[in-house]
This record gives sequence, C-alpha cells and structure tokens, in this order.
Amino acid sequence: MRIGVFVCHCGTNIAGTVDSKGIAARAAELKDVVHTEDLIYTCSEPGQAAIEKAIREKDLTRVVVAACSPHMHEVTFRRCVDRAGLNPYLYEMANIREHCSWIHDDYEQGTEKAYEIIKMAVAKVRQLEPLYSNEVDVNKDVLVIGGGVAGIQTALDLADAGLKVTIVERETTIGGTMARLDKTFPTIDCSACILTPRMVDAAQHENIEILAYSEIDRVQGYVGNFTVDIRKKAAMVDWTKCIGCEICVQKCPAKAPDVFNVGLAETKAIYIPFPQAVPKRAAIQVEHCRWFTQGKCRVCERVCPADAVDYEQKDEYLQRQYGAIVTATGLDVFPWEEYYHEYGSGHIPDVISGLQYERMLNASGPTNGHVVRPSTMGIKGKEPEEPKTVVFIQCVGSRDESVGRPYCSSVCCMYTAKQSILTKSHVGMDTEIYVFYIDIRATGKGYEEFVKRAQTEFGVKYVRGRVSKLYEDNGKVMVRGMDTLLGKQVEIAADLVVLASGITAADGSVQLAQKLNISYDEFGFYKESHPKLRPVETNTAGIFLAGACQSPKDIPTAVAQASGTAAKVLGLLAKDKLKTSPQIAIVDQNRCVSCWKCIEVCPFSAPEKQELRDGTEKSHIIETVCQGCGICVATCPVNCIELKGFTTDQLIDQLEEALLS
Amino acid sequence: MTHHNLTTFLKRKMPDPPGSRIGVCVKGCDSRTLVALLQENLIDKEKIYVIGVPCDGVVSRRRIEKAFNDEVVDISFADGKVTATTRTGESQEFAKDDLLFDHCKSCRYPNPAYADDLAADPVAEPVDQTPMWAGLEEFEALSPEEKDAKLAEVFETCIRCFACINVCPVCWCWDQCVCRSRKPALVSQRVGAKENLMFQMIHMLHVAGRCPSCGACDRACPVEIPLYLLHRKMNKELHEMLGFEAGLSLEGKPVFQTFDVNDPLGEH
Repeated sequence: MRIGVFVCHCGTNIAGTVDSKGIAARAAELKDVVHTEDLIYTCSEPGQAAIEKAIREKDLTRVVVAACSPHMHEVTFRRCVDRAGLNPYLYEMANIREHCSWIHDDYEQGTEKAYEIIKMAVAKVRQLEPLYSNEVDVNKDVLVIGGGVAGIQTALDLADAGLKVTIVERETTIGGTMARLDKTFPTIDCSACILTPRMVDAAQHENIEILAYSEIDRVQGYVGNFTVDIRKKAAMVDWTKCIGCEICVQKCPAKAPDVFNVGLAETKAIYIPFPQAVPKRAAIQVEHCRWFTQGKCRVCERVCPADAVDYEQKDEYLQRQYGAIVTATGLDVFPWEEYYHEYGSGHIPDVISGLQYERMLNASGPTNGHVVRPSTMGIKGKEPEEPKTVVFIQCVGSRDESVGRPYCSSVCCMYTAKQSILTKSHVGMDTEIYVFYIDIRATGKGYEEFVKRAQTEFGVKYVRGRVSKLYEDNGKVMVRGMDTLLGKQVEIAADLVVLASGITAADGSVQLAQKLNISYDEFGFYKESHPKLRPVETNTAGIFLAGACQSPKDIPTAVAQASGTAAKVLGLLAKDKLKTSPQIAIVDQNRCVSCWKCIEVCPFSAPEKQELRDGTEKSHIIETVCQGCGICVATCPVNCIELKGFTTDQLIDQLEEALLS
Repeated sequence: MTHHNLTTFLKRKMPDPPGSRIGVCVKGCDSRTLVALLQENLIDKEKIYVIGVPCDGVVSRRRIEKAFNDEVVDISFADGKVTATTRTGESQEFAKDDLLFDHCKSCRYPNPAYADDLAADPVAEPVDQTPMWAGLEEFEALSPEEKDAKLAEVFETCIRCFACINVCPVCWCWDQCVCRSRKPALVSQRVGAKENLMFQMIHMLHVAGRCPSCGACDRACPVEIPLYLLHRKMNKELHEMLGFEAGLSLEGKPVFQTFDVNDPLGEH
C-alpha cells in the first residue's frame, strides 16, 4: 500500500491556525505513507495537477486530502484522483478547515488536532476498497410545487425547453401572492397585467399540466425517479364541466370571508377568487355552504348551466413519477395581529396590513380601487370616507427580535413607498402621508430613485423611528412614536394606518419540507445547498428551490431565481442516465434475521425481501435506489448491513487511531 | 419461581408441524422481552402460547448458596420466609425480602404485559415509582475518570464466556455475533478490561431500546459482574431522554425505529 497525503493551506484559512507544512512533513512518518506534500490551494488547477502528478510518479494506491469539508470539495478531488487513473473511492478527505482551523485559534493545539484528523483519515484510507458506480434511468418530467410567479416562471422555462411539467397549486387558481398585488415597484405597472398573461401561457402550454386545488401527499424515491402522491381536493364542482361563468357565485345565498381580499370583503360559499383566475373554476367552501351545514339550498346546482356541481365529490389521489421537483411555495404575510398588541391586535378597524391596502388600491378589489377608511365602510346611506392623513409603519414582523423575526423582509420599504405614491394619486396630492421607518433598504435597480421620488416629488414625510402605540381617539387612530432624528416624541392623528407587515414562510412549509426530506431554517424557509455556489439546489439531490420559499424576495429576484432553477433542472435532466453513488448499503444475507426493520426505516424504499434457494426470505438492498444514508446500518439489530465506504472496520480503525494511539 | 427468562429459548427454531405452538411461561419482566421481540417481528405470535405468571419477586439463589458451604438441595417458601436445606440436612430460614433481586425490589411491572392466559390473579402494581432506577446513584456520582476506573475494575474479571449473551432474550445474532467475528473486527482476542468493556458495550448498545431490564445477564454471569447496572443505566437514559421503556405494549415500537420531531431531543 502506497499512501499519499496532501495538506492544504487554503491561503491562510487553514495555515493561519495550522502548520500545514509541518504536519505534511510529520505525516510522512505514518505507516504506508510514501508521499506528502503541502499545497497553498489544493483545489486550484496547480493543486490538483500536483495530486495527479504524485499519483502517477509515486505510484500511489491511496490518497488523503487534508483540506475543507467533503461537502465542499470531496467531488472535486474524487474527479482528480479518477483522472490520474486511481479508483476515485480510494481517496479520503480529512476536514482540517471547518472541523479545525476555523473553530480554533491556538496555533499549536490547532496543528496538533489537524494532525490527529489526518492520522484518522490515513487509518481509514488503508481499509478502503475500490467502488464502482452504477447507472440509473432518469424520468424527465418535472413537478413544480406552487403556482405563484416563481413556479410559473420555472414551469414555462422548462416547458419551453421541451420537458413535461406539472404545477401543483393548493389554491383553486395559480397566481400566488403577485396576483393579489395592485401595482409593482418601482415601475408602477399593473401586477395583474404582467402576471395574468403568464398564467394563461402556463395553462395553454402543451407541456404544462396545472393541478390546482391539490396538495402533495407523499414523496418517495430519489433524484431522477421520484414517486409523488398528489391529493386533488374535492371542489364539489366537476371542473371538467365548469365553465367559470360565475352564475353560481352570483346566486349563492351564503356569505363567506374573502381570503383573497384578506378579509376586507365577503365572498360566497361557492367562489372564484378573482376574475382572471386560472383555471377559472368554482369551488365550494363546505364550512360556509348551506347545503353542507344546514342540509338545504342546492341553489348552485339548480342555476349551473353546465350541470357541474357535485355535492358527492371526494378527494382524488393521483400517483405520478418525476425526475426532479421544484418547490416554489412562496410566502405568507406575517400574522401581525397575534404579536403586535400595541397596534391593537387587529381590533382597530382603520389599522390594516400592507396586503389589505394593496387589495384596496386594486380596481378589482373590494372597494373598486377607492381608498377609504374601513371603519366607514358598509354603513347604509353613507358613502365611505376617504382618509386625509395616512400613516405607514414599516418593519412590522421584520427586523424585530421581540416577535422572533430578526430578518429583513426585503420588500416592505419598497412597497410602502409605492403605496404612499399610489395613495397620493388615488386620494389627492394634499393627503398627509407619514412613513415610520428604521432604515430604508432600496438596493434593487431603480429602487433608491423610487423612494427619493416618493419623498421629493410626492412629499411623503419619512419619520425615522418606531411607533410605540396605536389607539383610537375621537374617530381617529392616534399614532404615538419617536422621531429619532429630532430626538422627540411625535403623535399623529391618522385616518388610516397601514402596517408594512413582513414576509413569513408559507403556512405548511415545514410539513412539506418533511415530506420532501429537505432542510428548513427556524422560520420555515427552505435551506439552499450552499448560500453562494448552490443557491437553488437543496441538499436532497433532485429537489430545487424557486422564489420566496427560500427567503423573502421581491418579484424580479424571485423570477430571476426561478429561471436559474429551471436551468439547473435542465442541466440535471439533460442526461439520459444518472450515475449512482457506489457508497450504498449492502446486506450480509448469512446473518440477516429477517426482522425487516431496514424496510421500515428506509426513507427511499431501498431494501426488499428476497427469497433464497432454501425458501427463506432475507433483506436485499436495491442498488440503484439506495442513497447511502446509513439509517438501516444503524438500525439493523444484528449488524448485518454495511455501508460501502463507511464500513465498521473502516470506522473502527479511524476511531482506534483517534482514541488509542 | 424460575430464575430464568424463558423467552430466551424462543430464539430456537420455531416448531415445524403447521399449527403447532410453543408454550412459554412469562413473569412481568419476561413478558416485556417477549413483547419487545414481537414488536420487532423476531417471533411469530401465532406460533407461541403465552402463560402469564403474575410475580411477587424472584429470590437470588446465589445469595442463599453463599450462606452455606454445601450444596443447596431444597428451597421452600412460606409466609414471606424462605427455608433452604443442604445435602447434609443443614437448614436455614431467610426473610424473603432480603433475598430478592435488586431489580425485583424496584419492579414496576410485575404482571405480564402480554399473555394468552394467566396462571394466577394479577398482583398489585406498585404505586410508588421513585425506586425505578435505584442502585445507580453511586456510579453516577463518580467523575469521568473515576467511572473509567470503576468500569475497568468491574470488567477486569470478565472471561467473555458469552453466558450473558446466550441468556439474553433480545440478543438475536445467534452465532453471527460481531463479538465472535473477525470481520468486522470489533473485539480482538487480547485479554484486558478495555477489550472486555468493548465486548459488553457492544451487547449493551445492541439491546439498547430493546432491553426491559429482566436481569438474566446478571444472574448468568459466573464471575458476578453487575451487568444489569450497565443496562439499567442505558434504560434510564432512554427513559429520561425519550420517555421510552421497552416492551410495554404490542402496539409500541422499539425506540430506535421511531422518529418524532417533537420528541424531547428536539432533533430536526
């Protein structure tokens, strides 16, 4: 056995705390080590060339690279070893950066620990055996979860490239949050005017299937071969017959809260969320329907010209195969009512959220685009009042650790500027507008100029400071806060207060992440594989991210990322076969006691029962399905499963080197 | 009452003639090993007939024998007293409570968790739960170094005779035990406390989350290593971390086969 050890400096990332040169020299004394070398940047071209050269010239049979985390560069060096003609699995990575130099500052101890880590890697590499990859067929269909602007963009990009795409949307229409917006910053173009054509494009695309009012029930399989169970929720309306004429909605006698308009209006128990809905199909909210709650009515059934209403409809389950999955599940608005008791917890009618105001500004919204005080709406014989003084409060549910939301929602500064400009144009230039802010974050293209315009051209008064209390007094909403630039208390009597409520992860994002087996952060946003270099991939191969499900995003960023995601999916599915990792589990059937625990715990359904010649059944792991996670290895009560590349002997030798030598 | 946990014998091949069954008598603790095995599909419920024996504690034969220099040939029970007689006719009376195994004194489940039939009326379940992990305090109070020393001392005398493993009902690798194997080479033939400890640690970890503390290993050990303490410590940790006890009901699952994001470890 001829082992080569390559120790990286990583500039000063490692060499700042670890004597890379010194330990490279010391490693030469380890058993079977015939070549050692320290390299400034091992992953660089000259670094990799040095490894290849040493393998060829010194006839190395095993390679240890002491550098960063395997997550970062294991594959890089595996390819490098392969190029030099050595089996790529006869190489082991010793992580002396993340596990050592980055977390220590004592040079001597850091060096000593790095040497220990290298010794362990050398102990393991002695036990390694050559492994060989297999190939598996790839399904080229793609599932996009979520039909907001990001999901639509990814789906259209993929469909245009010739892939079959399914969009699964849990609401009755695609469109997502953008469909509820009135105008978009900083161009003030109509949100619906730019989104709805894309929704129609998606619906009409021959390669796109939209499964609206559907949810993901279960996900099995692995990259290239996912099996997904989809639940089509019962709309109580046969959508193959429904023509979206809305006669049922007009005639329905039962009122229901209008979720699309964020509770500012009422809709009917049978509803279509908005006029441009895609698909434009009606659905019954059974909890508000008179037939379902009281057992009489059936008006919609009588008036439907298409005979589409079906009170007996049940949820339908579909099972589909996909090669890749894109999550584009978007966002929800921070539920400020639950947290901001100083702002009235939602009990002051003239305090509304940014999204509610957005609906109010919209021509097809609950007030037909008129800006009014909600407290004056719906009073018989009286026209609703327009507000004369409007106060916007930023960072409600953003940058506020007291409500568990330390992050910036990234869109509120801009939408507040937009809404303040729109207020002036809807109500009049003489409207008094105040914006309470912490900082203004306007980093996008044309954003800073846009905020400046609100301040100078439209005369919106920006007050730097937080609002401490909102309360009702004499028909006004009193806004008490601090102007931190002037260093004094201010109190404003407002007619309307709009809270720039922040972005939170979509309801149910965690449950979906658990079904998909992807990581999420403490707020429920999905984690990318690497924040800089793999921003649209998850750590689960074949599952990608698009839009605000990853972090708060504005429309241009979400769309740009969605196209990036499409490019990554295309890259994956451009191949007809995928190489599988040979680092998978294998059963020693002589020792298997047929308890089938491996089958129960495997998240990929890799183990199966295999009948042997003597009629007994033993566990067998399907090579192409196993992802090498090792759960079965840890679970097997008789230790008869080994993970190739991480066998008990390999790990024991590694441990013994650490603990006994 | 029998010392032995008879469910150990279910490791043997199940009866061949179709429809035939093996009858097995179980005390409370034995029944929990049986349930643990059933939970894991290691034995077929249809091939056994379980006679439950409500138990008021098992006396340590070893303790009795230590009182004599001769072989004990007869032991009789009456009114909380135990009378033992040797070959030469020497006889002595003991209070039963003095002879009970430690784990019997802290037993919380004297009645079978699962049985097809009961041999007697159930005995009263203990109400006080405090002594559940009694006997560990002394060991737990030691510093890590002292624990090392204590374990080295305790396991110095282990002769790796496999008695503990052979009698353990949930130890299921038969003659494929990794402790006998050279691949993977977990235990070598080297003599010494460390090697012995490794041997015992493998057993402990393999039955972790499956061992209901029946004490069979303890009773079988010819050199009287308090093995049960090792397993009880593990069971205590599992109980405190995850609220888990092995073999309580047929519907349950072994702890390492379940995953709940809301468990007290909060690992997600």
